[in-house]
Amino acid sequence: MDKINEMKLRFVSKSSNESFARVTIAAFASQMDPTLGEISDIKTAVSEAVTNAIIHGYEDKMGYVEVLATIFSDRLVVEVSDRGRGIEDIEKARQPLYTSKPELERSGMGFTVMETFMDDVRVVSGINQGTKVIMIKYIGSLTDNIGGSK
Amino acid sequence: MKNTNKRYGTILHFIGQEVMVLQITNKRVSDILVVSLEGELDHHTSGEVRKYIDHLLDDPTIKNLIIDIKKLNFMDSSGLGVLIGRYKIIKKRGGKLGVSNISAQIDRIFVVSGLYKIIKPYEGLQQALKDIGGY
Repeated sequence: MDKINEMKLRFVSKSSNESFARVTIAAFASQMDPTLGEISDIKTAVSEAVTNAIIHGYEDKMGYVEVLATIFSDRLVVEVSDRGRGIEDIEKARQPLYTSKPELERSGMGFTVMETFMDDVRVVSGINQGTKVIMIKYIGSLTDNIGGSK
Repeated sequence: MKNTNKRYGTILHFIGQEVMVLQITNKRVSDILVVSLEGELDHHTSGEVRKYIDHLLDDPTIKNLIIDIKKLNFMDSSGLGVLIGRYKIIKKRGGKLGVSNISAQIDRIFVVSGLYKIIKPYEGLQQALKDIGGY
């Protein structure tokens, strides 16, 4: 494997850690020489995944959220995991505008935003075991994504 | 890996520029409430923004709302929830919701979410005031 660098971040599921997580991952990814657009994309996607872990994974309980970021020669892979309640129906959760918490004024666009800003998004989840969101972003390659962030 | 690349410095500067907290200011122009957001709008700060705007909207003489995001350097889908919620309140009053100074990153979120179906984008606050209130 062409793994170049790796880091792991672990923090409690407090909403004040959302900005901490996205800024940390963006700072780590900056060594890949990304464009400002690519950095914005990563920050936004990480923010969505971490917010999901805090709101939906742990709800009102406290737990740990882990973010693993790996730099390969051509891409950044970010894994956001929680050990919370898990997602019953992943297909449904990923649909635009679907939210399990409309009373919180959630837009239901979290996964759609992750899919828009990253090149690949995979979700693994088990009821009462937790959820892992794996996101891949190709940096500085010929792989252009929709929206033209280059 | 080109750590000595000049863009690296630019990016670290860009990250360092982040305003960790959110600042909100408002002004009244006739029946329009103008709310300006500065900093970052995410799940953590969205509750504060919602409370702040809704408290002002208790005044029934406010018909229209303009949210200026010129100095908002980050927003994710939590911000969409705030905008959609305020749109519902303003729509009940027969008013309009406008958003001015939308950055490229936020524009992409608005596009994928279909938000432009319910809010009007404006290049600047003056254009928003002119179009919504005729000032």
